[in-house]
Amino acid sequence: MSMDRSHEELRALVAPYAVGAVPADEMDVIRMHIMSCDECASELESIQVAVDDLAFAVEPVPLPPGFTERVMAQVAAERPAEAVGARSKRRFSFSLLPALAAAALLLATAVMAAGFVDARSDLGSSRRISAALWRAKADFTLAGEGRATAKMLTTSDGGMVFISRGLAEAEEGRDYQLWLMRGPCTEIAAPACEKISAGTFEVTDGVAVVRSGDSLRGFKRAAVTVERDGGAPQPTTIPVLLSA
Amino acid sequence: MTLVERLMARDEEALREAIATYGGVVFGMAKRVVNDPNLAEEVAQDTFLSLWHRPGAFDSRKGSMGSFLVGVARNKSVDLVRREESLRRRRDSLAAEVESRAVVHPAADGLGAVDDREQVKDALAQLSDMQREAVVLAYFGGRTYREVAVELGVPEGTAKTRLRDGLLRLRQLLASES
Repeated sequence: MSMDRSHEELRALVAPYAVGAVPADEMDVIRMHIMSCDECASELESIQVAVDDLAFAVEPVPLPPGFTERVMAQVAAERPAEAVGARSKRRFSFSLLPALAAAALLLATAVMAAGFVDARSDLGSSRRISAALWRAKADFTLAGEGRATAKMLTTSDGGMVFISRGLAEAEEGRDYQLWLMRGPCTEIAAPACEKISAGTFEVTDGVAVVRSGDSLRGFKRAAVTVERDGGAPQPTTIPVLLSA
Repeated sequence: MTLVERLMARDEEALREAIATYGGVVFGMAKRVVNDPNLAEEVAQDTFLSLWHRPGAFDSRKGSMGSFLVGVARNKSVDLVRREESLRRRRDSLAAEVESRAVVHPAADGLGAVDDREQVKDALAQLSDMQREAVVLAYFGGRTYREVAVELGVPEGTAKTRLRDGLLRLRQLLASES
């Protein structure tokens, strides 16, 4: 797609964009143009009002019998899963070493491949284990401001481990919270991009490890935000770490 | 507490209330776009489950809960239609709808006064046939402007212009009525 398309040509895409009728291959070019063109931005705003009003043209249709109960049954079916989530939402206040040791055992193959054949018997050095974990193949690599980085790996039991370096300790009354995202997540703020909490954690000596039995399968991105103590149901701040 | 605050507090009764208030318009939008009662129920269920999972996605500064949920249902429906490529299946019925200038009825339903609906439908009816076709295909049919062009047998540029003129005219008509 040529980037030097004329203003007129791009303005013609504003109305299709407002009504969601721009094909995927032209999305980026029109988004970027609207961001940089006041005229098109104000046209979009004006057309958007009409598009929003179109929702009012819909005739209500009575719900099929049993609809509410079917939705509520799904909500009920999710409850045990939420209870697990709530448990993992507790602060990870355990000391770093046992967490690293557990992660290392689950990643024994990776650790051995990294040259730490004696990982099982020599758990004395959290630094060495974290270095080994660090070299293992990651499902997600997260980056942030400055030197802060993190990786997420799948463990041999199908769960996952998150390990970060370079994050400062969270301020009083704040926690770091880890999020897994699925769905269309090019724009992570989009409501369609589903963000699921994988728990809150603390940083000790610049390192943090989160262990969870939950699988990374199906997730497309991961992020870390700073939230109020105990975590939030959905992210409320700009991520300090984000995967590509 | 507002409905959203109660949803955020995981109050299941609040979700029941949301379904009772907005279920009809959400299902109406889904049914109109996907044109299949079973798929429409799937979309409507998914819409309310999304509300349950992410009540924070609703921003009261940007409009009412009703129009938010109808918008979510519309997006999910369009995704579904595109994914399943059920375009062919519903082409005939949509063409019939483009022709029609529906009249009708009902009582309060969570989206707003019935007046609003009549106003929007009147405004739609006042567009030229060519503008209305393009707007209905894109909005309720989930078509891209290229697909609109193919279906109407016009150049892509013409499809874009009809969408633009139609939506701007709609805006003008609705602004002057309210």
